[in-house]
Formats: sequence, C-alpha cells, structure tokens
Amino acid sequence: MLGAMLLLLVCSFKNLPAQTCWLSVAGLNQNRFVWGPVNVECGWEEYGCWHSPPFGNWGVTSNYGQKQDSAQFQGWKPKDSKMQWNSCTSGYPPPSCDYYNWNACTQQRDWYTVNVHGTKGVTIQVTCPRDTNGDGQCDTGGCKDVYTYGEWTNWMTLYELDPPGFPPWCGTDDLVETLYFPTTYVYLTCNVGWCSAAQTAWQAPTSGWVTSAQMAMLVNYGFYQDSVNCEYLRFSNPQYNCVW
Amino acid sequence: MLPWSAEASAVKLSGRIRAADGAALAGHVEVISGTGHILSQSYLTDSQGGFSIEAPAQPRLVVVARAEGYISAEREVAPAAGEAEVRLDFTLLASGSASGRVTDDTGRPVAGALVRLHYPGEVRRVVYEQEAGNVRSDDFGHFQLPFVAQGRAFVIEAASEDRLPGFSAPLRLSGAALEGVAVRLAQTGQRVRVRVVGIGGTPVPGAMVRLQALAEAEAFTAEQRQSRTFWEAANRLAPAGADGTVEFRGVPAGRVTIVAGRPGGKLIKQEALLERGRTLELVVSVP
Repeated sequence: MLGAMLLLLVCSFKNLPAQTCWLSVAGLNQNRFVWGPVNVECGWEEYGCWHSPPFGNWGVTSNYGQKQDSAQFQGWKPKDSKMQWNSCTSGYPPPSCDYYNWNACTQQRDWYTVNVHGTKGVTIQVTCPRDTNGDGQCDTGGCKDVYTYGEWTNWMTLYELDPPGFPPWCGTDDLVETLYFPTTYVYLTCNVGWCSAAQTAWQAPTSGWVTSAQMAMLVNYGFYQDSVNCEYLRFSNPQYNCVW
Repeated sequence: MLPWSAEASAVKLSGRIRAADGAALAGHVEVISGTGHILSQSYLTDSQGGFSIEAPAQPRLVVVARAEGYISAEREVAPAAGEAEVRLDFTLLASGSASGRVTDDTGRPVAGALVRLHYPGEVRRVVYEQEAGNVRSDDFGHFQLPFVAQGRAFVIEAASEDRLPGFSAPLRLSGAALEGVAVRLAQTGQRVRVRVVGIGGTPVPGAMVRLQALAEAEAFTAEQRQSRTFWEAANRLAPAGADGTVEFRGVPAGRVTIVAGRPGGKLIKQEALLERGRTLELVVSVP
C-alpha cells in the first residue's frame, strides 16, 4: 500500500529532487605577502569622499565566491577590528615599521593565519544506496559514487575594500591584482552517507606582480540527501532496503 | 596524474551575461561536469559579458554565471548527442542586503542563530555560501545578509542550537537594502541522547551516529521542509565522545531513525518516537 502511494508520488511530480551528495568546498589562503607597490588607498579627500590612508581591509573574489568586508585576506595591521594592509606604498614608503612589518620593515606579510576566501556547496546527482552482497548494509550508491573533486582554474582577485556604509558615489572597491594558482583536486573518502574532510597541499601562485599567497582547496564534508525515488526503491527491491 | 582524462569531444557553450536592465555584465562562467570525478572550470567573460567556451561533452553540465555585485544564476545543460554548440544567456539580479533580528517566543533576542535565505521554488546545484546567508546573529539577535537578489521573493530562515527552525514571511527587496526583518524561533527543539556500546556494554568512542527525524506533519509546511535549515535540523551526523555518547539538540518531534557504527564497521539502525518536550535516550549496541 505504502509502496503504491510512493509510486503515485514519484509519478505525480515531474521535478522531484533526485538523490544527491552535497559537497562543501572552500578556498583557503595563508602566507600572504605584499612586496611590491600598491597605491589604491592614497587620497584623504577625493570627490568629497574621505578616505583614511594608507591602511585598508582587502577582499577576494575567486572561484569560491565574491569579495566581502570580512576576513578573506587578512593583513598584519590591526585597525577598526580588521587586520589591514598598507595600501598606499608611494605615500608611505619603506622602510618604516609603522607601515611595514617584514624584512627590516620594507615589506608586508601575514605568515601564520589561515583565511577562508570563499565556500561553495556543490550538489552531485548520485545513485540510490544499494546492498550488493546481501549483508543488509548499503555498500554502493549515495556519496560513495563520488571519488574526486577538482577545481581546474583557481584564482583570487584582490581588492582594497571601501569601508561599510561608504557612499556609492565615492567610487568602488579598488583592484589590487589577480593571482592564479594551479589546478587542485582531492581524492575523497566517502561512504554511502557522508564524506570526510580532504584538503590539497598548499599551492604557490603562478602569477603575481606585487602580492603573493599560498592557497589550498578544502572539501569540508559531504553528505547524502535521500529522495522519494530511493524510498520507492526500498519498498520495491530488497537490494535497496539497506542501512546507510 | 590528474583524475580526469583529456576529453575526446567537447561541446561549445556560448552566450552573454546581462543585468535585468539589459546592460552587459563582465564576469565569470563556471562549468561543473562529471559524475564520479567532479571538475569545476572557471572562465572569464569578455568586457561585454560574452563567453564562448569548450566544455567536456558530458550528458549533464551545470553552468553558473557570476558578476561582481550580482547574484549568480545557473542552468543545467544536457547537450543532445552530437550537439556541437549550446547557447546560454543569463540575466543576473543586482545584489542588495537584508537585515533584521532573531527572537524567541517571548521576544528576547537569540544570539548565535544561524541565519540563511532561500528563494521559494529554486533548486540550485551550486550554492555560494555567502549568497545563501550563513551568518550568525549577534548578542542582540541582529543579523545582516549582504547578498540578496533584488526584485525576487525570498524567505529568511534561522535556527539555533536548542530551537527549531523559524521562517520570515515572504519578502522582496525592491531597493538596495531591506531592514527590520523579524524571524521568530518560537519552538524549542527536543534532545536525543545516543550511547553507543560494544560487546559487554563498553562505550565506543569515535563511533559515527546519524540521526534522521521525520518531523510531525503539522509542524512545518512543505515549503519549509524544502529549506536547508530544516534539512540540517532533521539530519545530523556526529562522532561519539570519549564516553560513547552523542547528544543532538534542537531536534523536531516525530519519528527518529538512529544509525550508528564504528568507523568502517557494520551499521546498526534503531527507530523511536521523539515526543514533544521530552528527551529521548537510546543505547545502540554495535558489533
């Protein structure tokens, strides 16, 4: 009876969500380094807009998400509850230990904090959990269908961000530069119901004129999301009526 | 060696990204392909938002369009056999912000609540977490969601450790910002305490415990059940502590299924009824 009702349900909805494995994938960065000239936060007054040179918080737009005023690419100088960068090196040149913290106060670096510059969830269609050896345990399907996850093109575009509430006529966030990184991929350890965390090694950028950082890709976790399709199969085929 | 082989054939995806007013938007296109081996590829559009890319010729591709200051959009593409080119045009909605406050049933602020948003009826394959919200309310219950689509109906959802998910009324952002949204977490969730033991009743630290709750039919609407916040309240996974115990809080009342096992070991399933206002205690014996 219940099986018939489920079959009716399956037939009634054309767009029923399929069973999926959801992966949470994050882009991480560390060992952030600014060695070259950066001149994006220099003027105090510009078109009636008051900046506060030379320090600014930086954001990252990447293949993992958009820039935002948070802790995506932290600098070394604590200011306004953010870790900021000297973003006007021509007006505030080295050497100066007020404006530089590395290499005899001539460069800027944050070498120990790991930042998350973006996270995305990727849903992958998988097969229903199934027992292939008759022991009552689901041993195939679900997240076990997923073996690797890769990002072909890793990139981080760095911006010096205008502070929150900055009037829109005062301009937009200022581009610093784009860093490109090699392809990253991880082999996943998944059972039917979930995947464990997996992280790539830290990667050095393949480009960068004035900045540098290491990036890594982290699959935080994966979890299986069941569907009515699989529920129906459990009633109609004993192979699918297994524990996962 | 990379886990993807060089594609013998490719399909050309071409199109343009525009804003709702027709203006061209330079941005990025991401293509997600594969089944067992998942690959995400990112491409820059030209200055007019145009793109023309060679993607792996696979039965199903997900293509996501993004531009700074706009909410991303995606399309699922199923190229027909032998189809050489697929045309995809995207219209992106400008991003604004929504802010408000999370309170409990007495009107007191709920600090640390996880706040998200969803667009009713939308199914996404790729979700950028910042577009989904995922912010925490502050000590006064205040929150701000900085990436909300303008001109499109959405619902804000929240949950805290002990409280069941709460939902705002349907909202729409007609300008750059919407303030004063109220989300009430009216119901306290139940607790489920699971003790995993082995032969002789010895605790099994590190055993994985999965909980699935089939919430009572009248407690949530069908639309609310589609939300990620509800899904996460009803589906939990945690390792047992040193004493072999796991406690799940904020669980909806109704039938619950518990599955537990040693890592890599045989899984044992138990079902029970979780009554409102009660704490359910279960012992699961695993081989």
